[in-house]
Amino acid sequence: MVAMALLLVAVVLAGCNPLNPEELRRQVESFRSIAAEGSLIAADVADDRTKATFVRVQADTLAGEADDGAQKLNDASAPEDLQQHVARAIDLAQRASAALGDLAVSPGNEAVGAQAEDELRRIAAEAEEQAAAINEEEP
Amino acid sequence: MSRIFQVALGILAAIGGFVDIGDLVFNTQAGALYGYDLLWAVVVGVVGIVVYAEMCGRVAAVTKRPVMTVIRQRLGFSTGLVVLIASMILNLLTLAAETGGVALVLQLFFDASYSLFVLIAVIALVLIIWVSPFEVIERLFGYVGLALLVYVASAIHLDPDWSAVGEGFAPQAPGSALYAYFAVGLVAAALMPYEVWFYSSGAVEERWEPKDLSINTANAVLGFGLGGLLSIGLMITAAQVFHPIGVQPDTIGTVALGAQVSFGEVGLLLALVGIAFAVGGAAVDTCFAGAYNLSQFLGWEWGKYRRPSRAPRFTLTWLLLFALAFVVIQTGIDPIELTEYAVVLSVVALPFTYLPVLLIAGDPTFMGEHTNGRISNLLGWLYLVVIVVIAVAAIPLLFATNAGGG
Repeated sequence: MVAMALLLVAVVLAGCNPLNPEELRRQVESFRSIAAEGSLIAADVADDRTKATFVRVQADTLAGEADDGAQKLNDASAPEDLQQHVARAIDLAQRASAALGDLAVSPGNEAVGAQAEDELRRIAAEAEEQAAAINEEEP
Repeated sequence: MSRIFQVALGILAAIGGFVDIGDLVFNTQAGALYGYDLLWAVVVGVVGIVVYAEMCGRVAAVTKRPVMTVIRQRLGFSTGLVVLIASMILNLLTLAAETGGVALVLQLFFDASYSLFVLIAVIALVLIIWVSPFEVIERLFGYVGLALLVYVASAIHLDPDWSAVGEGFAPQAPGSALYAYFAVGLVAAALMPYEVWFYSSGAVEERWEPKDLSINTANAVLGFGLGGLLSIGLMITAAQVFHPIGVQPDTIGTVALGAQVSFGEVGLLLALVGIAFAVGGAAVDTCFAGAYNLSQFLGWEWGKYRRPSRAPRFTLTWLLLFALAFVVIQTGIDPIELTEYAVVLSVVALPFTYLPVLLIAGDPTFMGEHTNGRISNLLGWLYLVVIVVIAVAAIPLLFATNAGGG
């Protein structure tokens, strides 16, 4: 009973600390990483130089990481000056997850691969810009 | 020709030590984050393990004593017991991680349930070990694991700036806690104690004698040198493929992707096969290391060259280790995270593993004409200082960097 109460307090307290710019920047950089890696996989799908099972499993794994990151950001309490960045980061993660999901569903489709590659490269570039912007704005 | 095969022990020990599931990701992370800047740390680790592996093999060949026996004799029962307990936990955690790693690779091949592949991995490894003689196990995992040479080929194929690569071999002062964490981790990973526990017991299994000391040297230099070369290949590949675009590798699939970028599907398949057998080899190393250590400490009959009925407690120990590893994996813990904890735990065992070896190898009473020469002694004591520094620095760095998360 006591252990449950302590666990509950810990969970509540974990949610009480507001998101800080450093944490947000790291999360955005992880979205950049996911998208960049996804673009490499997509490029190989587009060129038919990979194995479908590998693409499916790895794309699924990356999509899961993007979703987890987006959920964490969604659940975090962000100060007002970071909320726009948070919204943008969540959008990036969701787009990455969608593109990776397409790859996972059609791991042998070269056209899907090419489309996903373009989208994931764009997302990676946007994430890099956003991480730099957060870094500059940090006090 | 048969002498070429006799370096299989060194190759298997090296592969299990240098390119286990955690090292594969760790080396790739180092290259992705720091480019070529940490290549020097791999070399530092390689020289250290070559020095100590050669000593362990020499001690085993001359005195017929593997490392755990030496530890108990030299440091006494109580200290030996602490080392034994730490070693058993370390071996169990690492075995669980490696077995989970094999399952992860199988999943990348066949895309089915991870839990199913964990069971398949455990059963396959137990069966292979049960039915195969020691030499066959060495050669199977050691040589097929060399498919990881695809990363050396990849590093060359990607045509890096070789002068920048060369600069990476010059040691640099740590610019951040994270850099220091990776430097310490790379050196520590090369010196993981289960490598020498396995290597020295394997030397006794193979009935090495003083006339085999040249084979010991060849095993140590070629075997562990190859392990170092694979690590360097991984790091350069990651520096070329992942560093420029900000990929943060944290899965074995990302490691395999590095080879695919260079060579397409062929590169991917070679990487996955190499990883499966290297990680499987690491599972064999750690499972045997655990069974060897317990048996040697308690004075049981031990050895793969003995029939199971002649070494029943040794046999039961390694079977039990696999069963416990299976239970650990079922908790759902990530195998790669598990090896990070194992590396931290190994820090406890490092000085107590290598100091007794150094003392015995330098003692003419035990070693006769085969005692340490000046260079071996000098390097041995130098690396013992390095080992103590690692032992002191590893845990604070683990916390300061959030286990490498920054």
